[in-house]
Amino acid sequence: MTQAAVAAALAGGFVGYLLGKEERPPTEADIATYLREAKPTLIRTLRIDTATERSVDLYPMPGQAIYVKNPEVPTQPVYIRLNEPDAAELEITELRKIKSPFYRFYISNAAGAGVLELEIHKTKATDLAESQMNVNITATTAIVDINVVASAVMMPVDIQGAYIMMPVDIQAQYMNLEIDIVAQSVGHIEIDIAAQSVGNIDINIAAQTANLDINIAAAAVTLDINIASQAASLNVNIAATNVTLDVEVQNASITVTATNLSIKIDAQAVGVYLQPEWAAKERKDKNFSFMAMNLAVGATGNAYYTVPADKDLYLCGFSFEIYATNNADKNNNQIGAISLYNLDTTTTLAWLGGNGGGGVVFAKPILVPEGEQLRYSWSNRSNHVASGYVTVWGYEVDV
Amino acid sequence: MFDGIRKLYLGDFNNMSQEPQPDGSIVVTLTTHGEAKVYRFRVRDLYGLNEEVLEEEVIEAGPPQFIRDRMEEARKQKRGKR
Repeated sequence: MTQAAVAAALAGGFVGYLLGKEERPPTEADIATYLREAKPTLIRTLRIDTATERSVDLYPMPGQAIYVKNPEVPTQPVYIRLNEPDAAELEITELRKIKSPFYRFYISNAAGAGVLELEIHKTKATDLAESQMNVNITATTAIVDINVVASAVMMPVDIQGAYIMMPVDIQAQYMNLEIDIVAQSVGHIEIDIAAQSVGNIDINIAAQTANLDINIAAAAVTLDINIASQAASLNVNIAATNVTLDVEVQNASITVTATNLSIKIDAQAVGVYLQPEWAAKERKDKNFSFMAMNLAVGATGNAYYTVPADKDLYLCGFSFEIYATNNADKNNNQIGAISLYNLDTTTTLAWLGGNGGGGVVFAKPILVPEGEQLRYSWSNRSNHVASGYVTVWGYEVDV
Repeated sequence: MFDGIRKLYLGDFNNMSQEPQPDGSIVVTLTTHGEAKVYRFRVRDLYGLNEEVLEEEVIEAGPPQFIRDRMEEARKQKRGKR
């Protein structure tokens, strides 16, 4: 169907309705067909150079409203008459807007200076100063851009669709935003809030799968959870086949007064690591060994390690082995001893002796602070030449 | 500064062994989890005023190539069964 044919076919419908001459409102299908086929110009701009004098000059332009974009520009007032040349004359540069159906209008003005700009609206849906707009869309695909700039905005939104993408940019002094989402799957919900104060942020999620990422990047972060009530219940329930719950806290304190703090883990796939274990898991562990060969009776062999700057070394245990160097002594007692010593503080940290070897795991890690030097020693306390090994283990953390 | 002695002073290793030598020097061996390299160096006067690295070598470590080939073959067979 050609454009002319479509326009002719719908002339008594959509166009007629727009002009207020048709009683039957057009259906949405009528409107969509007309807009797609006829591609009408619904808003036109008219420029009137007031340097030319006019006396009831005809402008055969139909519409529903006229807006004056620059009423302050003309040096002389401009007058308008709607529809008929003998209609009431209105000073449009003073009124600034006219909302009334018309199929033509007349302009009068004395010669002056300045170009007056008028917007001729063929529809009655838009108003620059104040507006109440109901948008009802029924379509296979809908793209709706909404830009609202006003001192007060009330905009309830109800959307039902198989696939929805809806970026929202809101700037306001006060905002109350309630969002209810019911969907089989929710891809990404990103909320950026920049405000002096935030009232309540309630998040209720009921879904088969949900990812909730909270990322805070700031020079200083205060995240306070304060619960003041006679009865408080703070439940974290995780029911999953495999759970990874990483909580990394530095300088934390937990104070429990006159109550019970129970941590119950009822899952095989959940583990709690103490720091030495965690260090090994994270490959931050340190293992030292020292081999001393052919030490004479009473002799001592030493090995050293200086803890690097910005790290602290925690020692968790040490062990040793001693054996006779010569075959003739191998059936005798093999007495040896090991020690840990802080050279900077001249402090012996641990001693251990034994026959043939031995080892101990420290119930409390022994700290060697950054920059200080550890010496681990092995001594031959047998009555013959002996050889042996020392191992020391622990972990380092950044300070 | 050699790679090995630098790693020692940075604490950039997991395992360290020391073996005193007859001439008074010490052979230090450093390894790191997941890094298939062994840093071995012989040093005189370790942590002393006149510390001097006499020798250094970086040894490629890890399982030999034929073991890695078998591992890769096993992984391929496992993927094929899925």
